[in-house]
Amino acid sequence: MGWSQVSAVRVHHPDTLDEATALLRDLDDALVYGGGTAISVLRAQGLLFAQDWVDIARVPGLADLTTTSDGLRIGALVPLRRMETDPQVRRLTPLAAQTYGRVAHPRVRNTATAGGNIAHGDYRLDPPTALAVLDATVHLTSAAGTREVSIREFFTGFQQTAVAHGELVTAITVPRQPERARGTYVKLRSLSENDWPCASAAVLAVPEDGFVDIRLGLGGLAPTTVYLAYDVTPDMDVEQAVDAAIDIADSAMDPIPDIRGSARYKARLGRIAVEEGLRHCLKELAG
Amino acid sequence: MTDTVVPTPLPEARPAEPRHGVGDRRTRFDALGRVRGTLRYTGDEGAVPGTAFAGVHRSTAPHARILSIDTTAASGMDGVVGVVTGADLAAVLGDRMVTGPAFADQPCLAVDKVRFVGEAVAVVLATDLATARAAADEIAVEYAELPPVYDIDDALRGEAFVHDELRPSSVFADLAHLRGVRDTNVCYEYRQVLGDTAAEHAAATTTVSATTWTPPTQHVSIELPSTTAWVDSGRLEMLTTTQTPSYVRQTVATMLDLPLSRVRITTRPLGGSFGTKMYDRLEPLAAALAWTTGRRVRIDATREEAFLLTTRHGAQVIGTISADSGGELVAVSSDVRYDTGAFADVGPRITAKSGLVAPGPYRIRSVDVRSRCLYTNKVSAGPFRGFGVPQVTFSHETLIDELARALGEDPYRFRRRHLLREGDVATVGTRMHSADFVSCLDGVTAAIGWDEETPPGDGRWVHGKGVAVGFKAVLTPTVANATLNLNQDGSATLLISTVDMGQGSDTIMAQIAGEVLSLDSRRIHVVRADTDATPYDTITAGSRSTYHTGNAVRLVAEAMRDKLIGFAAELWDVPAGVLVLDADGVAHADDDRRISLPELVHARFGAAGATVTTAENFTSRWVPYDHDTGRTEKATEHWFAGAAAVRIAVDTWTGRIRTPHLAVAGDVGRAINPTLVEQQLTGAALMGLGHALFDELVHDHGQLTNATLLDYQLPSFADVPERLTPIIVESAHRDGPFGAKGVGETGILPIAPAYSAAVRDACGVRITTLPLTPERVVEHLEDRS
Amino acid sequence: MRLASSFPVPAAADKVVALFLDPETMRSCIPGCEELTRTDDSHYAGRLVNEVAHVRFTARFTAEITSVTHGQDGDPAVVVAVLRGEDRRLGSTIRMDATLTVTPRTTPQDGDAAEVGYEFELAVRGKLGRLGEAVIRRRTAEVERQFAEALTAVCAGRPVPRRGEDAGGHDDGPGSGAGEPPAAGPAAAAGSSAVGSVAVAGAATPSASGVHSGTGDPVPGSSPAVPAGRDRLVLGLAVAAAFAYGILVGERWGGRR
Repeated sequence: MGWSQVSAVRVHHPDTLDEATALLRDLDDALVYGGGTAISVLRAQGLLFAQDWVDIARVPGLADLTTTSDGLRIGALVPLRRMETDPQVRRLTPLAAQTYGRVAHPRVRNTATAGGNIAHGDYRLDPPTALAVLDATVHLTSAAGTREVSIREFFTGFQQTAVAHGELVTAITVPRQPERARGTYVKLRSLSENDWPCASAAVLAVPEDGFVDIRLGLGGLAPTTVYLAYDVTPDMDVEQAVDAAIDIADSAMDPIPDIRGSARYKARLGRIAVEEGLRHCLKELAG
Repeated sequence: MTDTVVPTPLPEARPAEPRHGVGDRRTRFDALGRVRGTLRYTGDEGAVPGTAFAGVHRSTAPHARILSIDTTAASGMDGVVGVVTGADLAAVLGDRMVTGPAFADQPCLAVDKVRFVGEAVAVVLATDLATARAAADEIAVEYAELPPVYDIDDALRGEAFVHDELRPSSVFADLAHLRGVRDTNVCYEYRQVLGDTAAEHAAATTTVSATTWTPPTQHVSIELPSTTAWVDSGRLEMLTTTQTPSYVRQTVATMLDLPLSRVRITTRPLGGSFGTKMYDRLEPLAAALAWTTGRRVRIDATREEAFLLTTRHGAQVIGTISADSGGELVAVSSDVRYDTGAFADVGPRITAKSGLVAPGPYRIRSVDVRSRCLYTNKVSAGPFRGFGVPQVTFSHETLIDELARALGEDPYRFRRRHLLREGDVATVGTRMHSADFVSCLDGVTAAIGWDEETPPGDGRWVHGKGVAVGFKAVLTPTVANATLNLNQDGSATLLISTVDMGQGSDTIMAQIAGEVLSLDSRRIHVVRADTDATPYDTITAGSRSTYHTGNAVRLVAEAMRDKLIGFAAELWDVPAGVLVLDADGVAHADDDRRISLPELVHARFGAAGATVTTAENFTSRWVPYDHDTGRTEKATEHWFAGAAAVRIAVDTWTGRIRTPHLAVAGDVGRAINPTLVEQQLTGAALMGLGHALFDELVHDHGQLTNATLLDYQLPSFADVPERLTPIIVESAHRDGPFGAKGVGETGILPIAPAYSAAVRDACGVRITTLPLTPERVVEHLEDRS
Repeated sequence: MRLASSFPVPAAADKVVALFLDPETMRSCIPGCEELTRTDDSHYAGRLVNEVAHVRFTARFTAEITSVTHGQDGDPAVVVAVLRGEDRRLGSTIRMDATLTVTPRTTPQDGDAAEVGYEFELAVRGKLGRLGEAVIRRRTAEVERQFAEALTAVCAGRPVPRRGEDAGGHDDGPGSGAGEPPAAGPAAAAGSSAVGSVAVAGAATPSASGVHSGTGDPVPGSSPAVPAGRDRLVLGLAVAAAFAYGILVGERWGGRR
């Protein structure tokens, strides 16, 4: 275990998970440092005051990306770029690979980590939309042990997550995407191309017996990532399926107006993202 | 095209291979260092032991009296070596601590009152930067709010005043008459009057009006401002990120009441600037702190602080254009309002220089321009690539485009018919030379296939094309000097105060000197601006260096050529007229006598490593504006002419704009280095694309709300048009070095109006407020239907 | 930035007003309010303490009343004031031109009720100001929810919930799917309001100088001479202050990593 100083911050370098969780338990005001892409920006703005950073880079196993019997286990330190490019991710969860590949730009994706990404808790993040429709599980570890939280319950409020004091995200598990399912991620920006999304939607269409399970993950359209699901029954044509998707999305959208658009405009983009994504998936299913 | 200027002929000169001279696509000499990160910028310099780092405490009120400043907590912190307020500096320096190029309105620390959110109020000096910044947060200031002037409307209402009275500085002599004027936020007004616009508008058959708004933006150069100042043997020395070392030396000398010889400003290459590192930024404060405390003081701006140092002027233009039944342009009226923020900076210059081109580069029978510079309680606005002209260009190009449509004419051909030609007199009264608008316009429209069919829409996406021209005068009068040392080994060292900030000036200046001396330009080293060594140069800005400093460099190289030939003439006792200088040295034109430069210099001085020195000056002149009409027979040394044409696709669902093809052209007189010219045109076009589509500083109650790179929008590679075509037009200038003129700003002028014209063409809506955000496009589409 | 909204409280307007008059109630309802004192006839000072990412902050605020209109015969009571706060640690200040209203309502289902409305012209400056609207607008809803929950609890005779104990309870987390608006929380929870009536202090309705300059720049000492109603205003301002401050730093933001 090491210790170094970055200006007014103490940076701890635990060598094991136990050391890391002990630090998080004992320190009053600690931040887990993963890729650092969000932390360093907030700190530079003088808005982050945590005195202790726990850099988990030396903790063994956290950067492992492994296949399991029913899907993927993504260590907290797996870079987003690897989620985008890894053949196993592309094969087992193509929607996740596509969505991770849409985060910011390659420099960020090379540095930012899968665990840090969701721990950031921002309502505009790309990956949580796909993780929600894929029914991922977040693994949280503290000195007291490990617990699992569904990604759909993980984002508890505006920039708030289920991570409690003393805990850190150690892994995300994602069930393999159903074989016949079709998914896509639609990201709409209102300003420059590398900006946060103004609205985004991950859509997964899962054929079941006699109906299609439609799952929607919305980003940037409410204070947290939104997960929605409904069924397309055989009596519905594509237009009706789209109308239903827009209706249900409309009921859930609660956009925050800012420089990227008014609430009204963001909701408009949200409807377009949902429609585009759904049409794409249904077309692929039909074809 | 006009005739090309041929340099003084060199009979039978043997060219070196390759010489990397004028017209060659020489790679920037520092290109590798810039991309690999091995080139050292100002902020890369390690801090000398004993350096005091500055943390700046900034105002949280837009307009307020300072009641008290409590520095107790900050002073008590470990590592803090001093806390300095504006009152402390005023006690030593008096009014001299208030500086500025146009008006002495910029205190290096606020005294008595603050004028914008983010103004520097006090400085902590500490042994490390983190402590300095932490301690700056501990300073407590008590304010009594004053009524704020948030915007142009507030400024013109004249109920509250940002400055109690106008105090012209000594730098711009033509503002002296404004001294002591009170109760106004209008710090400068330029008028241009030609003919009787009221009568012409009234008699016209077609009239189009538009009120345009161009928002403030920030330069966001990659390199952040950094300044270190120290006192050495009673002299104030400084290393700083500036485009204007000569100006800074004068300002610091005046502020500290020192002779110029006791002030030294040094620079390193800049990592981009675009106007952000000009005039009074961190330098007066650093100098004042170093001088009053005796410490070596270093000020590094954070990205967030850089947004508080300067911005581009937001500008409103209320414009009207009229045509007669024959389609002739009979009148243009233009009411231009620049929001210059809390300090005038060069706002008055921008107001005049932009006002003089506000009607556009057209043959117009009558014009009436009123261009005003207004103080508000915002971050100061100053120079920004284009110097205020993009704002008026958006107006005149919106007007002429709409007028063409009103007349049922093609916007390209309508412009072409009315554009100023060589020898025409512009509305400001100055004759046109080397400003080939027609070739620029023809070039960009041909590039995008103007006359080809626009793709049909598919119900969601619609397509359109737009075109615009840009018209700007080079800053005049200005001064450039160059000193050249020819080394005995036949290499050369060129001393100029032009600052290379990525535009490649060091590369092209060497190309100019090398061309004259038949030297490989890679053997010519250009010294970084250092006011102890490099001679006075007005500024590195306004696209003036290629022409002005380039001419000084041409002259100094010609003087060197003459001097070397003179040495050989003396050596051989022959008339100088029979000798030539070529790539192998000096040769006799009529026999086979020849001597290499190393031999010649060695023969002259008998010393290896000796140097030969020449120095020259180039100064451009103008004729001041007529008091009543604002017109002059020589408003400028030369003109910039440019054009852009764009094909876009608009997503009518989201309002988003896609760019299949953008073409941009500039008349550069002569391309000293075509690669660098293309890069300037391209870079300027991309910056213009940002301003057209999303770049904007947002204010709320005087607070900048998006002044971080989390929220501030800039074009990235992902925003680059699918095709981007830079086009070089060469209409040689009779007095330019090898016919050349600058190009740094030409490409940015016409971009936004070309885009708004394309949106008009694609969707039938005319948007007069920038940027053309998707939401704004959607709103206009909804309003139409 | 302009912020405007309203929320229902399950009690009669006069009762709400009375609760507003009780400093202890207010202190328990206003997130982070630790002090509230009157410094002279028209000026008040308070202190708010809050936590951001486990770091405690203290912000002082002052309030200045610019006009008062008292409610009569079902009309709303209206308070107009200017509020200034400062957080030195964050190098930020806030100025708020606030209008608060309490409007009597009677609903068939629940009996007595009132609507508390607010309109803030908010200027946030300094480091927090550059966060932009998104955070601030979102915080408004959160603080409103916290205050409304607390006030509802008091009306219902329940203990005021401590902050943090209801984490996730009312939030429209991704699992709920329905995206329930936050403000609906307290209203839905407002079942029982059977609390004995509280005598309204200072209920006299002096002739208020109803309309006022509205410039937001009042002349000191020129405030309406209505001491009896003054406390009500102060407490209303405290609510506004809490909103304003809570909007800024009322809760950790940026999340833990």
